[in-house]
Amino acid sequence: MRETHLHGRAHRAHPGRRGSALAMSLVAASSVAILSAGFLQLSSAVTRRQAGAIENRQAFYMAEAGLGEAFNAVHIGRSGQIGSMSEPAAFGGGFFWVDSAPTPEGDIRLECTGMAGSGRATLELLVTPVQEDVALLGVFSEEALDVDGELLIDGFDSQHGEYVEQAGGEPEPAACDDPDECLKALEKYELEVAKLNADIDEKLAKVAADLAASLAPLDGYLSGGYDDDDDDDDDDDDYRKALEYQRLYRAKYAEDVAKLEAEREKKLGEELKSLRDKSCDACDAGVATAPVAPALNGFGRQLVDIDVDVLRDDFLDVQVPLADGAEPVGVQLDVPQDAPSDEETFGTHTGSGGLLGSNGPITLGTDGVTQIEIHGDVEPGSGTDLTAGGSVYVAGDTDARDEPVELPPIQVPNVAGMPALKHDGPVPMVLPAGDVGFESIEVAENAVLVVRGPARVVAGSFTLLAGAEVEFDTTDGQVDLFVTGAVNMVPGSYVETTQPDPSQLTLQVSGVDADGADPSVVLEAESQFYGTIYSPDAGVSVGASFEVYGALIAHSLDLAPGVRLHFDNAYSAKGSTLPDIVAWSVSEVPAAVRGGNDPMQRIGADRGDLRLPADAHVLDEVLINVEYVDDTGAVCDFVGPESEFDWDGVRSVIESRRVLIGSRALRNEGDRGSAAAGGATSSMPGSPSSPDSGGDQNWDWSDVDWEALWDPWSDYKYSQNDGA
Amino acid sequence: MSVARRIGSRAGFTILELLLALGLLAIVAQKTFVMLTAASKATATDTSALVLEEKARRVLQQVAMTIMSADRDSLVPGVEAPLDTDALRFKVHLGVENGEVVWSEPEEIVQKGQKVVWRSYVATEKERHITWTNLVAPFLEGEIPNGMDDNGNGVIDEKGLSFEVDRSAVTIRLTLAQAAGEGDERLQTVETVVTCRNLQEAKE
Repeated sequence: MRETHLHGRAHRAHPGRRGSALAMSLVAASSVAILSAGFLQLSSAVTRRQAGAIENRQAFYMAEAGLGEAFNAVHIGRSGQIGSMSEPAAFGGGFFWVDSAPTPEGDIRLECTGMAGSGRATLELLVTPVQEDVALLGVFSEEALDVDGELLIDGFDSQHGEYVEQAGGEPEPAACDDPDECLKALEKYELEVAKLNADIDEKLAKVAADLAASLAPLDGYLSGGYDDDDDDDDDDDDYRKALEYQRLYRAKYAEDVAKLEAEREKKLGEELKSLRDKSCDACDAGVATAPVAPALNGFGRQLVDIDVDVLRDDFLDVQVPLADGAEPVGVQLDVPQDAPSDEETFGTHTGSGGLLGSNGPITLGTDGVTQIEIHGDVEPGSGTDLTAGGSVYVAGDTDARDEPVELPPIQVPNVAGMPALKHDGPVPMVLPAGDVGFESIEVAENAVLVVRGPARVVAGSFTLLAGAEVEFDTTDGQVDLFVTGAVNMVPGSYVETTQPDPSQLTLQVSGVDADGADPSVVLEAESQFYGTIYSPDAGVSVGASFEVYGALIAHSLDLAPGVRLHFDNAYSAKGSTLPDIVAWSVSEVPAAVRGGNDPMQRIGADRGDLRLPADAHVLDEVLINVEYVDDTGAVCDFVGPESEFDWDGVRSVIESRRVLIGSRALRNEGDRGSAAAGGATSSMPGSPSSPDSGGDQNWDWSDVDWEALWDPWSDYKYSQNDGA
Repeated sequence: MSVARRIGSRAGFTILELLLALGLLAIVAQKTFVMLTAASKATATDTSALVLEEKARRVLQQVAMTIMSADRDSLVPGVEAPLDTDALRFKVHLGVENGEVVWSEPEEIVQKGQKVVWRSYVATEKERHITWTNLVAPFLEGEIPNGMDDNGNGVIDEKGLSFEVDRSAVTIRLTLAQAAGEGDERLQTVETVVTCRNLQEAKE
């Protein structure tokens, strides 16, 4: 009863105190929970921001990696398109794809979007695929090349010393100690040599005239021709006799010429040697070691050539021997021949490294007697041949080029124009370093113009009158002379280059020859020109006294007899084949991939299906021409659509070209950039592949007019050879 | 009745019990308060440091990305160590038009007092500016204006925002300062080296 009472009191506690402990507990627990949630949220926010920053950076690096991969792809001749928005390439913990589009200016625009977690980054790179340095063409004529006079082409490497050292000649002698004495000795020596030459030349002219007089009566017998089928045996007998006489006269002539030349050599080597030895080596170097008689190279040779032409035209079918070692016209040269000239014709030479090329056929010395030596390769134009006479020596290959060479236009710098410069004073005029432009430049007789590098000089025309001299001083830097009109360096003018480094001087002529007109670039000055001459739209006429060390590329070439051209092989070592980076910038991320933490979910792709970057390169609908080394080390060629080419078998690329001709015409406008809906920056007008094309599978190849696309490659081929 | 009343009067605590309980409660409460205060302070300090570092990195990233897009040849002034600058003027690539790369009007990133300011259309009527942060320290951490390299980074008396140009590479240093109470100051220094990706001469 008592306990019951007590219990009863407990249950009847004051109503205001009921549940207060629970409420207090709940308040306390709630406070703690709220505090905890706040801390947790704060911590999460900080962590999230940090993670976001890290993922953004990762995405940036992804995009950088993608651009790097695409850049290398462009370097070896591919488009640079890697993956697509719907099928990106997997890389590290993220993904990227690269859209590639050529610009009308010939550049390639690469846009790469990288994704990592919530991070997104889009970078854009504009690159210019490097064009092969035109100087690598050596001596090149865009039009057909026909050389009838003596010609020497060889090569050297300016990085390995001067030409004369590589040619086995004597190095430059030391300076003269007593110039006055030397000059007197030299003057006397030169006088005696001149007398000797005049005497010998007169005799040679007489011999040549005798030959002409002897041959003239034979013309009547020879003009009737030879006909083995007719009944007139008397005429045929006369014809044979005339031929026999002609051969006898020619043999006599050759014998007389040889005697006279031997006499000249003997007197030069013995009687005049003592005179010459009185001068020092330095002054002596200025004297020709073997003075050549002008009359022989002109008058005498011309007479012989006339007769040879008659024989060639009329009696080719009876195989009359034209000259010792000569071959009939039109017969291709079997190279290499083993009959290079002796040093008397051209002096010393390196014996290798030369390069002569053209976009058309090359014809060399078809008269059979003109001495032409090409110590290196001859590359006729695509689909054409080299035609050479019997006295032509080619040391290297004569295979035609695979494709024509397109000479790029000259970018004339936009420098401030000044009035015409006409220098005719006795004091040398110096054009200081820097950029300068003139309406025209003319240097008069006995005037000297010095162009000091580094400089870019633009002139409307460039004229050197007889006795004028221009000196290109490249001691402190490169000199680039741009001429927008004609260049005329007349005989008797002088051009000097201070440094034996051809890469330091360029003569670039952007003028255009009028139809049927003579070449507007005349280089007949006395010069040892170390530099590159480039005239893509105008013909170049080179005199025998203008000796080029470097490269000579022209619309057409007119080479005077006796020209010596030395191709600098250092061009190939200096040229970089990496594409030029024009611009790099951060772009806006495509709207289609913004937001979201899981990039795969955002683009709707399956992570397991993604390819590595190396496998994700898109095979574009372009024609490619690749020379490469395959896995076995063999050098192979491929010409054809890129989709048929297996890049996996390529160890290294030697040379590649791709032609986008027609790719835009082939493109279905509806497909172009369709996956980039809403993404202002992801639409790639003119892209070789739409971003989601995933290669060429979306293309209908059946409608492609391949015949039209093969041009400029005339012969579509898929060939592999294992020749090194 | 009396028994119940007696029992009821005995309910509750004695004064001694109450005093003891209150004392213990006060001690516990004080300890808890101290602990919570310390924890809160530590958390606030860490959070503040993290936030400051994040701010510094974000500003540095903005500066770096802008400099990377700049044309190297347009950098003014192009000073090299031991010289530096707290203002760098440049042009960035905007795009390509008719085959020519289009460059922006001069832009500038400059420290103005405690601010890092990005300015575009510099010195033109269209000039505008955006403040990227207003927490920049007057001088880089460890540096005082005494004509010496106090912090041993090779640069003398560099400001809170410092640019050092070495050909195409630009070293960017930034120190943010934030009050940490009781006269203390929290510093956060970040540094990076970036390369200008653009060269005008590449296109010319």
